[in-house]
Amino acid sequence: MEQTVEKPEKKIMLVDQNAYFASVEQQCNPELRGKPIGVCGEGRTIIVTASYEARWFGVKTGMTLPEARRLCPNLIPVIGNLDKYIDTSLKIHKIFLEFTNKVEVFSIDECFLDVTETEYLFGGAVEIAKKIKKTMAEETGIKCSIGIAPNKVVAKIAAKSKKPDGLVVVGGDEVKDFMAAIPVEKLQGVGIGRKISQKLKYMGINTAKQLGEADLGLLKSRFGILGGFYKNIGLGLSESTVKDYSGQIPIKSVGHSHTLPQDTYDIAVIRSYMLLLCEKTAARLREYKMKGRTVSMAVRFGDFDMYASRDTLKHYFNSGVEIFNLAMSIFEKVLPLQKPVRLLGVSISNLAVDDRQKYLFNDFEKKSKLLEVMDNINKKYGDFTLRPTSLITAEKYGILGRCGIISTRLIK
Amino acid sequence: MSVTVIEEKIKTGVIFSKNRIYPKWFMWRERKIDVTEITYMWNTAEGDAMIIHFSATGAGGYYELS
Repeated sequence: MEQTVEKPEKKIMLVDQNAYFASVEQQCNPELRGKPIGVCGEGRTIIVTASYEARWFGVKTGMTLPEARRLCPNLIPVIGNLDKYIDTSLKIHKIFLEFTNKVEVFSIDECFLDVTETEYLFGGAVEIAKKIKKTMAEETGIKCSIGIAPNKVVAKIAAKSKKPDGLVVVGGDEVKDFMAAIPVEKLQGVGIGRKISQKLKYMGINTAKQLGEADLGLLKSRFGILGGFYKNIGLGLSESTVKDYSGQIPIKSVGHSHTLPQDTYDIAVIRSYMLLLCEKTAARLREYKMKGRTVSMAVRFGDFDMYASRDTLKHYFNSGVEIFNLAMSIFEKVLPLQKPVRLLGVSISNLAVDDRQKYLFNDFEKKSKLLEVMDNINKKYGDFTLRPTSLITAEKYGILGRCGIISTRLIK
Repeated sequence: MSVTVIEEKIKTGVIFSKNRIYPKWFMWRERKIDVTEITYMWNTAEGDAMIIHFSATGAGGYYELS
């Protein structure tokens, strides 16, 4: 007689730190607790995160400070500190790793955990969620919303469905009912963006249930191969697994972005910032012992319009100057500037391991040695202790607290 | 509520306990300020050096010390 062993139902958790940056700031400064605050960039007036007290007045991420103040006159602007948020994230990762090594960092304030194989050690997935909430509150003061479900898609929607400080459990046999009433616009963050949800609405698809029941042929004719993917989201199905925390090291791209203290048309200033970003990107690439072939450059203008493009060379490289040359050749496509530049971003992809091969040509060998010496000095004494003189223009113009990082930080 | 960036070197009295360091007071502009509460701690690195940052309250104010 043939016996079949049933696989246990997956227990996937999504932990979402509530109003993360604002919560950290409120923890730091007791004067801010219980008050409407908006975390902004230095010298800038865009709300990056609003506290729940500010959200009650309608303040949202992306609003300008004057817009937010019209809704909430008592709003307190607080300058954000990414170092603080990254360090707190790493502390929170440590808490998660007490329960499972299957911890996938989804963003600075969201992680997926797969506790299927470890839940029995801690009294079940719900107990783990409660312990995570308690430890996070004790150690960091941060509240979180947790969704538990058989897959990542439903876990994320579940976590989003009750904020702040929620805990929503959706069992395998409850997925259909849970998804039935979810409007398509609430599927953002699980693969259906704002534009797609608008298109779905034009097609008369307003809920996840309707999306799940929609004709596959129709969805494929409208969205191509993604049609099937969207239908599965509607049905609350997902095969995507939670990656091991230590298995997330393979880096696909490295980059930096920087919002300028003031919008500018000045090419000398832009070149200097671009070099700063390229040098930072190159230093990180070399720290990871990698090299790349494709450089992507993005520029955001004063009116928030974006231009982004990429270029690929035949050979691999990891020097700041080479990244800079390629990035500037892309940037030149937007010259002469029609509007001032607000933000610059550079990243390098198409990566390979830098095997530190010896170069046949003396010039390459010299450059390689020079970079190695420079990296060692900067590693010992801090970023940009040794730096190209052409960065002085950017330094004079003002370097904000830190450049944005286009990657995920993990505990080493 | 206003924030002043000071970035001055200060003299600090600290205690070491359980492999950690806790500021108890600091001298700023010839005034001794007792730390009432450490509300937050975080680390950054500058080269090989680890920098410990503290959010602290004392003498009716809120301070960030590194």
